[in-house]
Amino acid sequence: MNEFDFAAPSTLAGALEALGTANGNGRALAGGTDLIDQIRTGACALSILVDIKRIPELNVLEVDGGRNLRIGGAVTCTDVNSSPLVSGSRWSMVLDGTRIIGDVKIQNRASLAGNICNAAPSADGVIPLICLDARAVLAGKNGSREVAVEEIFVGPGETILESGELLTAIVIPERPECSAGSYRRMTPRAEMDIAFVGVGSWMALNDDGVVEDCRIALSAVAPTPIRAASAEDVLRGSPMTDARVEEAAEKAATEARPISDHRSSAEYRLHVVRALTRRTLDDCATRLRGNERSDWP
Amino acid sequence: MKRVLSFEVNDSAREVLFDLRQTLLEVLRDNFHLWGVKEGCGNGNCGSCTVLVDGNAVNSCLVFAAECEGASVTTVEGLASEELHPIQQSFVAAGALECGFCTPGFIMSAHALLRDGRDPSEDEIRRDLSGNLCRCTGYDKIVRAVQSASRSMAGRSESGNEAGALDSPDTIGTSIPKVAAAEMVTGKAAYGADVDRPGMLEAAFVRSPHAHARILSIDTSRAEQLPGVRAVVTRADYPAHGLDGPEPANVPDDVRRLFECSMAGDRALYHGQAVAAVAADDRFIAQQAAELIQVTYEPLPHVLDIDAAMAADAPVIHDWIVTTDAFGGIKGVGPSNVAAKHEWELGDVERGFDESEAIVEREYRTAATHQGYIEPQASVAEWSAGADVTVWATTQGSFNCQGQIASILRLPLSKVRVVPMEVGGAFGGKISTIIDIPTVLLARKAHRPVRAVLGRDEVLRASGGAAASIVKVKAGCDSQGRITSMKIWCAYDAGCLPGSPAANGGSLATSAYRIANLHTEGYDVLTNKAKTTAYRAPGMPQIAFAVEQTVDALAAAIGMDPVEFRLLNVAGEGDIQANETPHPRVGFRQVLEAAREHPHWRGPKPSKPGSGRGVAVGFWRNNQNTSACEVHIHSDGTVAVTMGAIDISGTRTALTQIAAHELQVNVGAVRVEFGDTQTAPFNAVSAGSRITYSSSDALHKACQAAIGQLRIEAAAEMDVAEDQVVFAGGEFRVDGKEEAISMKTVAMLAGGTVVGVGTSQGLPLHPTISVCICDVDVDSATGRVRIERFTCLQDVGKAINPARIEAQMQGGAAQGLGWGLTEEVIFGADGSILNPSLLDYRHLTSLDLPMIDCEIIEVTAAAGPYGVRGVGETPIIAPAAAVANAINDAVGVWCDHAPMTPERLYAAISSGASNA
Repeated sequence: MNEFDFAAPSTLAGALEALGTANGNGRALAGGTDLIDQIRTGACALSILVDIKRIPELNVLEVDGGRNLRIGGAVTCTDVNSSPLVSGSRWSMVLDGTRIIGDVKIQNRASLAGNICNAAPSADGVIPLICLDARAVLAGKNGSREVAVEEIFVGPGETILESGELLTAIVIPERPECSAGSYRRMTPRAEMDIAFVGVGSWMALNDDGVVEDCRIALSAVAPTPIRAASAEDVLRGSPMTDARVEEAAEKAATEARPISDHRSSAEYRLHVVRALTRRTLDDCATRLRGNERSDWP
Repeated sequence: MKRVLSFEVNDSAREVLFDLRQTLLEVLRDNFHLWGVKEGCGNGNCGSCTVLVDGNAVNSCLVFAAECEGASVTTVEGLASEELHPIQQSFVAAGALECGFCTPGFIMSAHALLRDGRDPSEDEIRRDLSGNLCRCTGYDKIVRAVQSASRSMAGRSESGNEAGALDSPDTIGTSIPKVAAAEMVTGKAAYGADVDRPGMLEAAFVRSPHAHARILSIDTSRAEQLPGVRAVVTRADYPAHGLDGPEPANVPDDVRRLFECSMAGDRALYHGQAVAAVAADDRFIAQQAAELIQVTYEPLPHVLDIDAAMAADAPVIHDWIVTTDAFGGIKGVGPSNVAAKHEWELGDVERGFDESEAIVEREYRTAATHQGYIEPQASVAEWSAGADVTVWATTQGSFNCQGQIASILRLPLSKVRVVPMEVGGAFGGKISTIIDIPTVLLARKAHRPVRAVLGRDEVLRASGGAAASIVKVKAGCDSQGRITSMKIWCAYDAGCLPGSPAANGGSLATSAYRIANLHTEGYDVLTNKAKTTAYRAPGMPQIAFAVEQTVDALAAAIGMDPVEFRLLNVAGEGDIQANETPHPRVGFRQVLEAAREHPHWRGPKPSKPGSGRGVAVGFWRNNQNTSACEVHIHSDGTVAVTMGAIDISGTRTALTQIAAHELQVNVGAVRVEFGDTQTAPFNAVSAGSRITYSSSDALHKACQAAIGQLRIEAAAEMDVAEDQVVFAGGEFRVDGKEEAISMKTVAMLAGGTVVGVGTSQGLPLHPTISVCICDVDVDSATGRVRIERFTCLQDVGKAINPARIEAQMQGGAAQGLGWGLTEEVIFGADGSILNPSLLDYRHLTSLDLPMIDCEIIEVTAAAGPYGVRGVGETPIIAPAAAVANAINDAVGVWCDHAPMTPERLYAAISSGASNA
């Protein structure tokens, strides 16, 4: 571990200045649940660590004027989990991720924005955001820009964030009334584990029960979180039937490009993509009926 | 870079100069000496370092201290004032702790969970504690303690105290609170890493990046020039011992093991082996210096698993090792990776198979596992101005550790003092010293005290876990269900030097059963891995996983109930084991009958698809060894007991109860201390479930010796012959007469304190048996298994303290289930460990386990006082097999591989492997 400086600015301008002067060797610190281990083991070398938790606007969790859910860049998973704006809302799929990132102690620290910026292919917080069509606000010295969360990832640990850029907020648009989603992951332990595979499914139905819109995303089966567009196409525009669900599950597996590693073989990952796609689509139907999905199949 | 941090610690405003690289954990420990904040993993996967920051529970290892400017931090030291906090009280009363290392973290997590008068459900408690790992208790008593604390904090406390009273001499069979529990729940109990000496340096290690390589050169010059570096040691600093000489085969195995487990010589034998060690002013400098040491390696061919190592064309790891038998006889012709072949035979197996109605033949594999103690190894060494060295060690045997250090460094035993600290879990993994020797050498070279503390990755890479195994079983039974014949071939992965539990596997595989025709072979196989070490009944979970599934298959083949089948075949007193040893009295039948009658076994099985129930038996011989004891009876009637043992399972508590009973004083008047090698009488290593068995014998003898002296004094006072005086109820009196003198008075008459000494040696073995019953729910679509219900039954001989025994049984169950389902050290093709953290090396968490029911069976052991048997190891043996049998009951596939991960189970289910 190299030596580094530390700043805890109270304004966004202060944070951007501190990061901007570091020539790309600055890192923003929110919960640090991934970053601190990377720094301590030498995997991440840096010249300055910028703690963004003291910036008021990054701690905002609100429904904004445009009826979007806005989650500030320093908002923790616990903040999200305990927010009445999220639970029971049409954004509640977010909780399927934030409630299983580590344990409660990790959730007390980890920010949802950090889960994006860490860019792990297995990130549990990210898939529900992609399914809900969330966008991220990136602030830099030349102002800010908004990008779809699914466009952020380049590879494991790599994002499109430019040197000195900071993810200041996640914005989730208003979702249709008749919509629901579900994220599940496969781990050997019930909690405190890393996903071998994660699948998120989300759908909106019209008054006739036809799938008007559908988004399916996968984690840990490619270098980045990915959309399973061909699986979505199977469902979009038709009523959800067992046959369609089965076909979507098969299609989802064709979108996955998993590796074999010490956690799992590629073959098993593909199988789990199918199983969890089926399961999360069923969960959508369960939730659309106003019921709770089961903890265990 | 240094800064000043202003924050509040346990309600006091504090300022401290700190290094920006320091975590909150490091500042709390190193700068404020709040040693109750424990480091178990360093990356947020164990929860031992849990503190509250502004009221929220966090892992202090994953918080930079710099972030805490203005914050309010609460550690376990901030909870108790005059009295223990209700959560701490509940942990003591419920016996919700064993080694105590993880306890402060659990208490802080529970504190956050129970704030604002919350009344969480069991599931909520398990969920909120799932990031705190406990390796000893199986979480059962912890969950109950939190439930009880929740009630008492809401003012709904029934007196709630499960613990027995301290104002009685006769507490044997009751659960008095664990000795040292109050220190453990307050964070005051001192472990190896908590030792802090003036001027102390910190150590770091350089480790081999190769599984097998010649070490051509080690250049330490750049490290030595780094400011703040005080010493560097390599194997060149060790006395020679002839290891690299012309006749390496003449070096005893144990000497070689201590060398290779602490520092590589001319070859690195495994990935992660220490190659050099550095001592510096702080750990950042030590780490930086370690990175500056340049080692030139010439990679050599390596071999990583049993099959490859036994292959005819395998690279031979040591050209001086030839295959030997159990008695040291030579069996091989040339150099081999098979260090030993142990073989036992009874009757005629082939004839037995000829007489069989059903025959089952299977092959099983178990992966390498790790003891997984939450406390990493730590060692502090300090030399006196003379030539004496003191070592504060994390060890299961202080005298054993002393002997290891003295023999390798060629120091007189009397010059090496080992001070044993509280041990944060060991399970066999802290018998062989791995860091004390380099620490002693660094301290001598630096002329300063040195502390070495391993990181979790180093623990997993370099301490050696439990052996992987391959077990082939062929078994037959007749139409009545009697086992007619059994043939076992087992091979265990020893790592880089001989000494796997192949002999245990071969000799004890079938000991639970009466089988006339037996043939067992056990192979000790070398690979380029850290030397595997003892783990709780070494070799037995592996063999039980194979034998117990095969026994179930036989029962199924002839349509018998698995418990009835085992009852028909279970061994009894006098039956001959494979190694020709007859069984003493063991509650074989009693434990199986209790299992048959248990509501769990008798009750209806869950009927939903994917549910199943399984049963398995575990047998272990237990060990005995020398224990000595000193008892001081003071003139005020109080009693001090001193031993040189290590308490890894509540031994001090049991001995307190025994001393009180022997001397008829209240348990509150007894203090049992386990001292260091200079101040306490000798005790062999705490292993083989022997400490309560052997030490209670020594204690009994010491008490008798002290009473004997007092009896002489009492006889003189009463003016009668010595043999007319009896000791009963804490008093001496002439047999049959009213008049009595209290022990206290006699002690006073004897001139003050009276000392009794006792030694136990040569007790016979005290084997035992356990039965586990397991219900599972299998998700056939993914292969994931959930444990729905678990019951263990065990013959404990005599339960001195039932709560402590239950904790052993529950903790063993949790470890055994982890072995069966999730735990595996995974090696890459280059010999590196791919999962050197507690994220991927998966202990089961509180959320993965149900409450664990225990039934204690008491069939007194044939020897030793009170009839106690060793308890600690046996509980780990049967759970993996029980869960495998339950999985088979649920989905009809055999588990040929432990751990039965979701992927392996899914593959078995989808390939249609069946019990046909």
